[in-house]
Amino acid sequence: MLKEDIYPQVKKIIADVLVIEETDIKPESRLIQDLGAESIDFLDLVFQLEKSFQIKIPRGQIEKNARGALSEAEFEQNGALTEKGLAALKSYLSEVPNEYFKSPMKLNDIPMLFTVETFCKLVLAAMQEKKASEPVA
Amino acid sequence: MRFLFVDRIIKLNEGKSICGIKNITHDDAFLDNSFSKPNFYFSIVGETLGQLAAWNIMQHSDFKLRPVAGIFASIRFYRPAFVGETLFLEANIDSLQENAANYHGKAYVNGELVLSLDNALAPMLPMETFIDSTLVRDQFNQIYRPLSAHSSPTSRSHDLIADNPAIKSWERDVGKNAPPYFQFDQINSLVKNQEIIATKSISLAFAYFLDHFPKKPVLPLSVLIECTHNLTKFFMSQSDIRGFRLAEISKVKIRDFIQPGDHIICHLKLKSQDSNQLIFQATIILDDKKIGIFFLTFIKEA
Repeated sequence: MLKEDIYPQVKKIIADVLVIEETDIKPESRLIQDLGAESIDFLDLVFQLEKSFQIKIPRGQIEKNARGALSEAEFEQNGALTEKGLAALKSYLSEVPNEYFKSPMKLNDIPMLFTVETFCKLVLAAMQEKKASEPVA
Repeated sequence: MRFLFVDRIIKLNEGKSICGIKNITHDDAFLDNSFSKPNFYFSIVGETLGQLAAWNIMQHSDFKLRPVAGIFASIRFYRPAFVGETLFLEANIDSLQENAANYHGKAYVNGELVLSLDNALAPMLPMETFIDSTLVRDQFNQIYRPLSAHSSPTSRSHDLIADNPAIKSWERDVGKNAPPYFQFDQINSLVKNQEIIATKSISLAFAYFLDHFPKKPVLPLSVLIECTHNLTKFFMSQSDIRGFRLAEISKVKIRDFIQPGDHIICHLKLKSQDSNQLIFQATIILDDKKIGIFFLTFIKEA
């Protein structure tokens, strides 16, 4: 399955969670800056995505996916991303334009970068993980 | 005026389910007199159910965290709970994580459904931000009196009340207003059959802040909902819409705390209307920011 396949459903859920029109949403829309999401909306969004796609999205999963093989200490120190951490984040969030990344980048500022496409990727990764963990008949 | 409603926890399966009771008496502060007999405000029945779920969740976290009402998919109202009746409440915790709790629940009187609450999603926040955890632990210990394995839950109803046909028909005494704490203070504008805009100023003088919460007073979501319910009733009366009762509050989300000193604006719009049902959208605005939204569905009274 591709991001494009799940995009319509993700868009519909985002519109429902943020009580906005689907026509206002584009793949590159940032949830906080462009669509007005608050922290409680992320909680709601993850909950609705889990329910709709029957997946599990643990807290901090985007950061974990971005961190990849890096250790926590290699990824961040004192609440800010290291150089390696920032590079890993930029690589993972390839859909986010480079100018949106700050340097130094605080961990708490990472959600400001999330776009609709970021959540499509997150759902897709969770779906693949679920499929991989299912027993082969 | 207390803002703690569960009288007794009668069964608790930590992190999973909880049952409790609440006796509705003339001593209760939150009684709706707009029916022919005083009854517990619908929204406060919902609050009581939310508090019951919260007792389980808080105990599970050893009183370090508390859930804060934020999101509900739906709260449905079936019939009032009158003075003299006992609410039997049950809540089930569907998922419990460090950052959020998801639960649902029901309230009954004598086996008859009064209210159901679906898909509540509550952010978990540090207890000490709101209230001394020792105090909460003591409050829990006061009401946690589980029934023995052989007892059946108390759920009684005064015969005179149950047999009164006027109550069963939910006859209203039109004209009795809700108390000020359940009303918006000022109507800013009203367009009949379309929309109403009203303002409420939040004062530390509201007695419910003593319990909700001592360290960080925040307006209970149930109070906001009841204020909006009453605003909707006012709007309907001004629009000559009669014979409808509240059936459901849905898609509830509150994005920020409302605190003493704040002024909130409610923008209530009639979204759809037919002979059997009215749907309103309420948008709550604080400091020019949309901080809350929910829908109220009214159905034709039988």
